[in-house]
Amino acid sequence: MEPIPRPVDATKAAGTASARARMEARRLGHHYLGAEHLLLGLLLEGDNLAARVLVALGLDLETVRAEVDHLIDQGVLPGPQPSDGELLATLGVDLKAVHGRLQATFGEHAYWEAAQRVRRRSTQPVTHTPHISTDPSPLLCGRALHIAAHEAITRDQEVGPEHLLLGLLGDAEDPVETDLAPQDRRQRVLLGLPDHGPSPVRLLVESHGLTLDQLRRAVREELDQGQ
Amino acid sequence: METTDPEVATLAAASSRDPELGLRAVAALRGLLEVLEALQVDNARTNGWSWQDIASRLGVTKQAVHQKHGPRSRTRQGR
Repeated sequence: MEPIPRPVDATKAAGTASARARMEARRLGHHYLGAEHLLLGLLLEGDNLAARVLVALGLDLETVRAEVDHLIDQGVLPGPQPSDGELLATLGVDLKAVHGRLQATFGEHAYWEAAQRVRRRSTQPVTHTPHISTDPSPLLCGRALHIAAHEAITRDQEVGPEHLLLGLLGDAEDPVETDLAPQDRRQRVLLGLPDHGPSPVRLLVESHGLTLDQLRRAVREELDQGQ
Repeated sequence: METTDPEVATLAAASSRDPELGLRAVAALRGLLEVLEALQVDNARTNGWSWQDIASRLGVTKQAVHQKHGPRSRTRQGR
């Protein structure tokens, strides 16, 4: 992957979309943030170019949620999984109590920051837009965010929902094993995700009779009109 | 430890012989351990402890602890 030439900020809408994506991941019982959640996050934020393009082509919130459920049934995406807190409770470790003590000792965000650092040690470098880096569950859409950052920088803009969608679509062109480090592969398996094969976003788009390129062209057209 | 959450109680009961949950619990504990270590090493460095002193308390070599925590600490200060 080409390095990002300079740091780039995210717009408020992109931040809202990623927060909604986190909520969507929790609703599904997933302990990672994947491209499929980010796609739903864009639709949940709603008031953005990406969502308008998706809805215009028939990929509204309900449709995409149904497609995600379908991918879960097919085993492409995992069903609900026990959280770290639930797993540690089986050993008698109260994760909430541990968090409480660490926050009291080291400050409120110390635990999350340390969790992020430990994670970064074991995964490929990813572009963290400011609002995406505050949750400890692993970010499995780093490649999409990377492409999104390039799309924004090329246009001399902040990373908005439309760049995130271009990132998701660009990432989905390639199978999930593309640019996947061995640690990331292990993490995917641990999370119950396939470590090879077509990306869930691609399956989702194509099962609806669309192509990734078709969607991407629609986003680019809208972007160019707005300039 | 007593647990009142019914879902957790069910998991705990199942985990005694279920490798799926048992192994996942080990992985979760390892993750927690890594974070605790990162927090404590950072704190020790902030308090002026040497890598050698930190390594001896963790029961590992100086090289091991430096390799794991050193470069990242520097990156963090740079931000």
